[in-house]
Amino acid sequence: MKQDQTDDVKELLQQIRGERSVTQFAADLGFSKQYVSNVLCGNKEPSDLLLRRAGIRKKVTINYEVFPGARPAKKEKDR
Amino acid sequence: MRLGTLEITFHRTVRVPDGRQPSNLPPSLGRIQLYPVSKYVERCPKNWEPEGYFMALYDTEAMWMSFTPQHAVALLVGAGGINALNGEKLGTTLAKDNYLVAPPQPWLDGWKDTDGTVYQFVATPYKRGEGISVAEQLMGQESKTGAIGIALFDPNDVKALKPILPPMEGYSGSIIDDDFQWTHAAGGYANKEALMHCFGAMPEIECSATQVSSETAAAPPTDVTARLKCASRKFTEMGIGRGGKIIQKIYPDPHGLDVWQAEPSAMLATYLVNAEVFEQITGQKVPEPVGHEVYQGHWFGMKDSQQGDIAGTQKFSGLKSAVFPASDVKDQEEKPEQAGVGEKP
Repeated sequence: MKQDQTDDVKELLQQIRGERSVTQFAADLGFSKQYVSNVLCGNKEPSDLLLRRAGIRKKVTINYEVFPGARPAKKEKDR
Repeated sequence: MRLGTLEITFHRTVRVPDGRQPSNLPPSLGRIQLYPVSKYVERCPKNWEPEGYFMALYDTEAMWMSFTPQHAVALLVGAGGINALNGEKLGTTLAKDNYLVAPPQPWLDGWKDTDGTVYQFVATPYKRGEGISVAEQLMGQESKTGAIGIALFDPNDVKALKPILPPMEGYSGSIIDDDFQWTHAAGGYANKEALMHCFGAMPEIECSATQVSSETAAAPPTDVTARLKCASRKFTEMGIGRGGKIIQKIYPDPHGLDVWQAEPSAMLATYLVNAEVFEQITGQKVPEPVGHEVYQGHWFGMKDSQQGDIAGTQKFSGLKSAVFPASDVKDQEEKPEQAGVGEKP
């Protein structure tokens, strides 16, 4: 993950954490306090599982020139 | 190059002969440095992805890639918009035999054929659909770039995957014999001891583009005219063509299609530029390519006779060679400069 992306994720996680303490936030996510603290400080990259539990979905941009066989995303139907 | 949880390394290598006889795996002649498009955006074609990277390769220079994952990943790999394993348009959906899994797959050296071999990845000028890169031959004007595309898929549950090791790796002094000295399970990187031997025999080859010292770097142009010419000059795009045959299996997915996430976790676009133009513009020296005629070091193989191989495709076999574009395979075998496999020139 690039540095600017890491910074974006870090900021997003801080927003999701809100007023919660790191201890509480880590417990809510089911990770150790030390690990979550390291992620929030930018010392470690967040795992996919942490992102999923925090409700963050990674957005991957498709370059259709490099991946011409990629199926265009289907439009989500109104619920 | 880090892509999600995977370290991908592109290697310069020896170009193998272009006859019918497949060669053993060629060595690494050093890592290929990647440059971010964003730092050279005024030099790059406008359609290039700003978040992409590029590398500099000479015309007919060969390369391969190694995979060092933190955990098992599935990869779609292609160039110019063509999937390297089945010859179809490169997409972002995993399907039977259109992807590889690392581990066990430690390396990829070329376009997959049907008989346990690949056609070596060899750089060739990209000409907007008119060139002889594999993608241009298969897609024509539909091919919009020569870039290498890689899409990475993580497993749904890493812990549920059984641990898999790559097969044992070996090296030989011969380009075709299978008298390998078996070493250890390949960790996604060619045997270092053997590589040192290779570099020791060929001191003029730089180990890595990143290690080029200021003394060896080509001096940028000094006169005003040349500087002005360079100031507006753009990189020349390359694509990936079809080289000679190499013995390499692509191991079938040991976990099954269902274990992988439906969408890629990360994607990489790596463009290719002509190394000579790159040197003229940047002053950075790119190591010269090496043909099998002059290479005296080790060749490699995998102890994988018990392993399966994905189906592959014959779509690449009828294409023009990037090394001898004007000839078909039969003609190439008759050319005096085209030494037979294993023969010394």
